Amino acid sequence: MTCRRYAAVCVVAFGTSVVTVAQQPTFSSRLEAVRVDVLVTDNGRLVRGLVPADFVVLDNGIPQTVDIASFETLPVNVILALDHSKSVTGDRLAQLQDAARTVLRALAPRDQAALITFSHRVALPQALTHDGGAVVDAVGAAQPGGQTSLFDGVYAGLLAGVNDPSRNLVLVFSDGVDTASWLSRGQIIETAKRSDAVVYALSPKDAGSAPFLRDLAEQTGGFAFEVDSLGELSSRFVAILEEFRHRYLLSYSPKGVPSPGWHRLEVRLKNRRATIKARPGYTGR
Amino acid sequence: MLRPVAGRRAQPLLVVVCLAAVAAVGLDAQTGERPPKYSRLQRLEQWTAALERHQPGEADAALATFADWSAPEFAELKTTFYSALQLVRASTTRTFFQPPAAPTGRQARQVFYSRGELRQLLELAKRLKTLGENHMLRRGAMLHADAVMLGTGNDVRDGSRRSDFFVFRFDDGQGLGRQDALGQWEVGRFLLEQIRPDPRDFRPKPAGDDWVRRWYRTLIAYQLAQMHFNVADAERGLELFPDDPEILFLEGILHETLASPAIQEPMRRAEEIRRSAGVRSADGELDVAEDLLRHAVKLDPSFAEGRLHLGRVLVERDQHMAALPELTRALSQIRDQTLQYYGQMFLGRAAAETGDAARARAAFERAAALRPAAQSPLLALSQLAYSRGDSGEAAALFARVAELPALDGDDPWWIYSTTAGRFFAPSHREIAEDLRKEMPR
Repeated sequence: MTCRRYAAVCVVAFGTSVVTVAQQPTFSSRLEAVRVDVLVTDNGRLVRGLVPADFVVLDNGIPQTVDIASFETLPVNVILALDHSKSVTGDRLAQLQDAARTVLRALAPRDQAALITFSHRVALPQALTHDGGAVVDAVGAAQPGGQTSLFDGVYAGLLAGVNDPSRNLVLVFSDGVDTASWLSRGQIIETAKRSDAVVYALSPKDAGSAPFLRDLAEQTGGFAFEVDSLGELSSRFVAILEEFRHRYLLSYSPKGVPSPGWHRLEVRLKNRRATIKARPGYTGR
Repeated sequence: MLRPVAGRRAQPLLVVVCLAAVAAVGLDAQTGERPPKYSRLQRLEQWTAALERHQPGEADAALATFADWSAPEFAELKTTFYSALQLVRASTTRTFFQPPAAPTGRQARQVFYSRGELRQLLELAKRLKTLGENHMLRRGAMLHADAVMLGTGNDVRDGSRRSDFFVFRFDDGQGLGRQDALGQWEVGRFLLEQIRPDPRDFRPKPAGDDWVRRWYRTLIAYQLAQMHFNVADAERGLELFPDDPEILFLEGILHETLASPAIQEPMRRAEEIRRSAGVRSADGELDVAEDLLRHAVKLDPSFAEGRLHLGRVLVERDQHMAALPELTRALSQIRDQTLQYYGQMFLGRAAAETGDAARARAAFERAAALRPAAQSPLLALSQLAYSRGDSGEAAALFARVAELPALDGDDPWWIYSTTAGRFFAPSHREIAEDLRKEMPR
C-alpha cells in the first residue's frame, strides 16, 4: 500500500460542530456530534444512494436533523485486535496472519491501519499508519504465547483510533475466553457504548469468547461471526471491509435531549423498507 | 507463617482440577487390566520399606518406589495397610475389615488372608509399630505428599487403569483433556484419618493433631501454587479445622480462584465435570470464599492478607461499598509491595464503581508507582479517563502501556491467583522438619 497522507478532515477541539473542508465530504466532529455508522440492506443487498433526507434518527425518541457523509469518499481506519495467546500457534497463527495481510492489501491509500495483539499482555506493534507495509511486517513479527486478556485487548482496539477523525473499524479475533484482563467485561461494553468505532468480531465456532464478542459487536452496530474454519478468515475480513465501506455515516448534533447518560437510538428510512444495522445507543458525556 | 511476596515472576500457569467419582462422569469401564506384578503383601512391604527409608521433605530414592504402581494398587494398599494397623493396635487381631468408605462411614466387608499372608502382615505390623503409631501415620502421609510434590509434580501417570479419580487439565480457559489419577493424595488423607492423638481413644481424631492441620495447610498452599485443585482434599481440611484462620484463608482463596473465568469457562462447557469436581458456579464459589475469608478475619482481625482477599471477593460480587473499608484497613497493615499493589488496584476498582473517581485515580496511581512496568494500573487509569470523557488522556495513558517493555514478571496481576501458593514451601519445610525431629537417630 502506498503512503499517501489523507487530510480531508480534522478534529476541532473547540468551536463549531461541523468542519468543512473544500471539495470533501462534510460531517460533524466527533467531539461535538454523535456519529452513527449505519448499514442499509434490502434482501441482503447494500442500498446505495441514500441522502440525509431519507433517514429518520430518533435520539431517546426525539427526531434529529441528520448530516450524512458519502460512504465512498470517507477514509477508514482498520484496527486489527488479534488474539496472540498460546492457543494461536501453528496453522491457526498462519491463517490469522494471512487474513490480516489480505485485508491490509485491500485498503485504499487514504486508509490507515493499526495492529494490536493480546495475550496476557496487550501490545501495540503498530499504531495507526498509512504505511500498510509496516502493519504487514508487524503482523508477521508478532509472536503468540501466554494467557488471554481479551477485554484489555478490545479496549486497546477501541482506543487506537479515538483521536483520529476517520471511521474506525475494529476487527477482533479471539479463539478463547478472557483469563487475564484487568478490565472487566462490563467496562469494555461501557467503553464500546461511548465509542463510535464499529466492532466486527470473529471467533471459531463454540469459542468461549463468542457471547462477549456478540454483545460487543451488537453495542457498536457491528457483527460477530463464528467461523467453522480459520481458513475462512481471509475472505471474511475482506467482506467485512467491503461492507464497512458501504455503511452510511450519519452525524447529528443532539437537540432536545440532555447529554449525560444512555441515549437510545433508532434509525429508520422514511419512504422505503430496508434492514438497518446501527448501534442501539450511546452513552452521552 | 505468613510471609511477604518475594521475587516471583508473573507466569500464568496450567490449571488442573482433580475429580473423584469416576462413574458419575460416564467414563468407559476400563478393561484388560494387566495382572498385578506384586502381591498385596509385597506392595505393603515395599511401602513399609519406603516409609522407613524416606527422609521427610527430601526427593530421595524412596519416592521412586511408587514409579510403577497403578491406581488399583494404591487403592488396595489402603486395605492391606488398614489390616496392618489393626495389628499394630492389637497384635492378637485376626478378623480384618476393609477401611471405612468415608471418615464417618461404617466398616465395610471383611478381608481374608491366608496363613502365609497373615505371617507377613504380622511381621510388617511389627516394623510399623516400632515407628510409633501416629508418627508412622504422619510419615506415611508425608511420603505420598513428597512423592507427588517432589517427584512427578502430579498424581497421574499415563496408562494408570481403573482409577477412582482423574484429573482434568486446562490452560488459558480451554480443556486439554483428562488423565487417570493414581490416588496418592487419597492415600495420604486416609492415613491421617487414622490418627489418635490420645491412644486411649477408640476412635481416631485427626482434628486433634496440629501436624495434620499443618499438612492440610501445606496441601492447600500447594494446590494454589500449582493451580492443581482437588476440592475434596481441601474441603476435608476445612471440615477438620473449621476455625483455623490459616486454613480458612487458603481455602477462601481456593474458592476465589475457582470462581475465575480460567476455571469457570471450561467447566461451563463440561457440566458433568463441574459436578464431579465439586466446583460451583462463579457466584457460588465467591459466596463460599466470602464466608471463609470473613470467618478468617473475624478470628484474626490483624490478618491483613485475609482482609485483602475478602475485599477483592466483595469487589467481584459487586459489593463495592462493603469492599472499601476492608481494603482500606488491609492496606493500612500491609507492608509488602506486591500485596500493596493488589490492594491499591482493588481499592481503585471499588472506588470507581462507587463513583469516587478521584479516589480511584489516586489508588491506581499508587499501584502504578509501586510497579511502574505493570500494564494493569495504566489500563485502569486510561479507562477511568475515558469514562469521564477525556479520550485524549485515555489515549495518552494507553500509549504508555504500548511503550512498556515486553518482559514477563512485570504485572503481579497475572499471578494474583497463585500468590498465596508462596506459603507452600515454608509450610512443607516446617512439617518435614517436625517429622525428622521425631525420627530415631
